[in-house]
Amino acid sequence: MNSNELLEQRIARAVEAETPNVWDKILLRIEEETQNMTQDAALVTPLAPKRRAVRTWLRLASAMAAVLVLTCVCWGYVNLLPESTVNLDVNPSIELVMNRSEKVLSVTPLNEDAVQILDGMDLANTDLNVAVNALIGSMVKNGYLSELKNSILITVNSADSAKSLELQERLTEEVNALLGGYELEGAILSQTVSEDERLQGLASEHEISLGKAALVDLLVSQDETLDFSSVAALPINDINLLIAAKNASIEGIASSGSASSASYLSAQEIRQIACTHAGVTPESLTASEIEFDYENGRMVYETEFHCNGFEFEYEIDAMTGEILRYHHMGNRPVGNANGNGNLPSNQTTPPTQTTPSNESTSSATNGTIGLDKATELALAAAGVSMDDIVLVKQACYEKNGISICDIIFLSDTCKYTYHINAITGDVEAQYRNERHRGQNGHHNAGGNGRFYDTSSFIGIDAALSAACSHAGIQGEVSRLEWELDEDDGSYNYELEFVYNGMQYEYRIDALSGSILEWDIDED
Amino acid sequence: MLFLLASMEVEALSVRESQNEFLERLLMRIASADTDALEALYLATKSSVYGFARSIVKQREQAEDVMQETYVTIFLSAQQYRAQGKPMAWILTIVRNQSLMKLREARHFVDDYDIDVSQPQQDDFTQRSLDRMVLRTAIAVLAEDEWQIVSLHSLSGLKHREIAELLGIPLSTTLSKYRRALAKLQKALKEETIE
Repeated sequence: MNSNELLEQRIARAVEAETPNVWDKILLRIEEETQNMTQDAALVTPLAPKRRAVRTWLRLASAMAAVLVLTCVCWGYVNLLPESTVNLDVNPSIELVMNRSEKVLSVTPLNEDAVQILDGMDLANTDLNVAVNALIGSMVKNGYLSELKNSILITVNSADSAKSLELQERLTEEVNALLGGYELEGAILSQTVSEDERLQGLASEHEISLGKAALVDLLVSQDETLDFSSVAALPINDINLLIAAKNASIEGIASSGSASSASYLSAQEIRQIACTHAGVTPESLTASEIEFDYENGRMVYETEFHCNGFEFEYEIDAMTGEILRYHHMGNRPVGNANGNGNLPSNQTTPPTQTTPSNESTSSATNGTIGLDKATELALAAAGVSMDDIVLVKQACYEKNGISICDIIFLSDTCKYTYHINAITGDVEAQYRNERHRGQNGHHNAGGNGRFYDTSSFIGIDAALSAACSHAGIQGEVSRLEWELDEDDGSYNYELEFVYNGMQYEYRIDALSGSILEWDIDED
Repeated sequence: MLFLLASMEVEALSVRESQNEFLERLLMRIASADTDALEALYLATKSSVYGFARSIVKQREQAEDVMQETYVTIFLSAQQYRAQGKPMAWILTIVRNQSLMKLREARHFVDDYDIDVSQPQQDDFTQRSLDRMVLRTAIAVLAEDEWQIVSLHSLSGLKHREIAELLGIPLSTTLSKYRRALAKLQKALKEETIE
């Protein structure tokens, strides 16, 4: 969901909250109106139909009028009846409707960018090729088609399928020639579509053309990570880049030329950014992959590479080079910036967010404040003490390169959620939901139906003890993170911790303490 | 009791029935003077009706009056509604007409919203206070027509074409004002540094 949709959701909720309940007043008014209507009912006398006198000259005039109407209908059939529709999609989206003679009957902008392209042009009654010429020229002039973004989607829709195909091929050649005249190498996608209620619904819902809806539908059906709404908002050039990056099948769509990636950083530049951050050189990589993708409203590069036993993964903004996410995996010496063994050869200081440590779970590690301190800050911000609450979650994660501690706890009346910056201790976000008694007499946390009758749970200490006992661990573990979770009505502790270079994950029944799931992996 | 019955009525609907189909079915029943159907319609649309009315008349009390008049008018005129898949546009046209009549009765235009513009309390960090902040900011920074377009799009689910038709302005104007309004609101909210 994009930020505009979030804003609209907030506005809708706020208005809903302040909408008064006036139903009783409405009902009262209706009763009053109904009584008034009964008292004031008026008689209506139907008018007597007029008698019509038919004369000979009227019959003749009628016959002549019929002939005239027939002539007009025939003329209209040829000249006014829509025969085909052509959509041109770049980011401006324009619909042209033509008659049988390929004269333009109407030109409709389907989005705001298209309004700018049309700029008051009156293309009605022009030939199709003249209209296309004018529109392509306007798109180039306004920068929608350029060396940086050179893709266009042409969609033809006509009842005559042979004519559709012929028109599709002809328009592709014409647009190619037009772009060549502007010294641009176009990347042209073209297709014919027929009326499809589902696609038309999607097109209307997202305010795009039928042709673009068909293209987006084809792409998202091949990749679960893409959603229709997000891709529908992209310009055709970005969609074309995604098609190439994901090797998507575009059966039924003709494609010529290559989409320009000139507005984005090159793969080489991205690799350099990732390597610099990881403290390695591109030459030392033993394996690497890089590809375009679309995440959270922006085009990104996803790259993965190996170096000296480490595996690195990065997600980087394709336009700005901002590192959005990263993950490093592999064996490293403990807490020592100049350690031996498995550090990459040219790395002197490992990134602080991913360096493991055998220090105590909760205390500050590698410049982070630790879960204990984060919990203390959250309690202080909420104005409660440890005695007043039940802890539900203590865990750290990374978001957009920032380490965040998630602290969740329950008081008798509220559920508190805090996201604490693990470096600065600032409260990045905080939420409080009121708990209310459900029919079972237990408190429910507002909004999600969960309830925590924690008095019969074994507690996190007992859960950790059960996990260590199962794993054969007798020493102190590090980097413990845990959460009390509800799964289909039953409550479990989910724990993660590190011991002796190995990462352990456990799911333990909160009532019985039995081990439900476990996993061990290299840290 | 009627409230509970109307609530049960809403819950009993098929999940596959779209909102438009649901509203049109209710309007058909309202045409036969079915007040239960009117109550179900009221519950489903009251926020949209109130929000749009307030965007025109500004004052809470007047918007409440418009709400009442709207639903009474719907009850009395439901038989005139022609099922074309646009019940919300029909309802909001009534809201608009009632709101303009209300303004003419008042014989002056109100410039200011009577909304609580005080800053949220230091410890009042619930979602509700954030929502109110966004609403307050939207009313403060957007022009009247921008706010009407954004509130219609947020509350009533109308498409831009339908909003353009309802407000009597070109589609292109609706599109450009809508995008400009959201950009303005995003900027104002960033300056207020909300989470």
